[in-house]
Amino acid sequence: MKTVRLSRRQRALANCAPVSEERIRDRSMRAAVSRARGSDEFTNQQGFDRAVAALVRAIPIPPEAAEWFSEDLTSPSKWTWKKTARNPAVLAIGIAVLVIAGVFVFNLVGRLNDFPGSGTARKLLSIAGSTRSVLLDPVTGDAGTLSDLFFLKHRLEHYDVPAEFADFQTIGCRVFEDDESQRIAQIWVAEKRMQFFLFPAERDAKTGAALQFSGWRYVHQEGWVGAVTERNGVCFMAALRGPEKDLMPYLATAKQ
Amino acid sequence: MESRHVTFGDSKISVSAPKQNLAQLYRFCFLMLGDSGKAQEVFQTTLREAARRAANEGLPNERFWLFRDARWRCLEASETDLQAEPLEIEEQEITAGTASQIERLEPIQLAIWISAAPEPQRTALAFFYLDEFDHREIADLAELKLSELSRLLAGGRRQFQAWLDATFPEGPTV
Repeated sequence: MKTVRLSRRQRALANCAPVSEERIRDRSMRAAVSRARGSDEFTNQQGFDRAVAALVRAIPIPPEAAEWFSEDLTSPSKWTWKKTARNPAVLAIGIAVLVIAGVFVFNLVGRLNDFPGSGTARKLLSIAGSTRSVLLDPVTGDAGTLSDLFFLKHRLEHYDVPAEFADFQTIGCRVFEDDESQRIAQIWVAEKRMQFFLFPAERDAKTGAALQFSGWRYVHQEGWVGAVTERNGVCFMAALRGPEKDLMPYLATAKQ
Repeated sequence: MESRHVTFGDSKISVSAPKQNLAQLYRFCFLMLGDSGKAQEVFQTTLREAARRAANEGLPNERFWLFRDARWRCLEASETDLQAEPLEIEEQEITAGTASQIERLEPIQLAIWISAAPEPQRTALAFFYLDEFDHREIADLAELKLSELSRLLAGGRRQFQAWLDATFPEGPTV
């Protein structure tokens, strides 16, 4: 029978030697096991421990207990999404992101309809809503004839009323400067209490050239609608209170 | 460490214990109590309480807290049981053929024998033969010094050998 002399501490450690080698995590235990390994007593102890540990591993897990760690109960992804969605902070962030996205989309859609001079056109629609006829100089005649008046009296070149609206009877007109010192011509006509505006087209900041666009573009402001076109560096806007469809017939007829 | 979850009401709560450890937790309860029904009861109570704590005050930032909690529940559960009178238990040296004697046992026989051991030997043997912890962790969980743990394990082996020899008097089979 082989025996090995062990110190008191080594014997204590050898008595606690883990069943599996991988559980030996410290140097003193490793040294004690290494030294004790040559003895029959330790060999018998290890055989005993392995057999008991195998019996423990064979302890069956009842289904009721196994349910606690079964896959259906412990699906982390399913739980995570539900739990995360219910989290007030995540909910608040989600709503905020939706609102920001909504504002972004609203602005984007608004920008899609923008054209050079649309900002000025909107400001003029606000002016149209607040203008009283007494503010304007009374003028009777066709709107198309006012081009000469603007040129001769105010030196405003190319302030021409397009052919589509040239035959409308005027009630009055005026020329004024807006907050950017641009000279604006305003005409009031009898037809549906419509107002016309003529104003300089928006210009390129570097070259100073007028930014052109083709056809008619619509702008909306405070219940008013305006149809804007640009010719020779001057924008013309026909404005009235109401929906876009009220202006459409004038433009459609003119095109034909 | 893989996170596990247990249900509490409508919610599922992580108890930060790997699947393997939950199986070992049940086995620990079984070894401590020597009865499958009682083991299940303590196991489920431990996990429910863990889920409740996770939902309310949060789980302890401590390794093996689930085993520590289960141990106290096992001790509480066995307090009401009939207690064996303290007596001198016969001891026998372990022999080379012991393994074959143990192979003839059913797990319940081992569990009954361990659960009948006095505290803290019962806890020390249950933790040791789970083969889940090293000696420092077992000493910490069972609140023992190394020398005490060593004495209890060595004594437990010799006592179990004596019981095996009494249970299988014809000796080990080859």
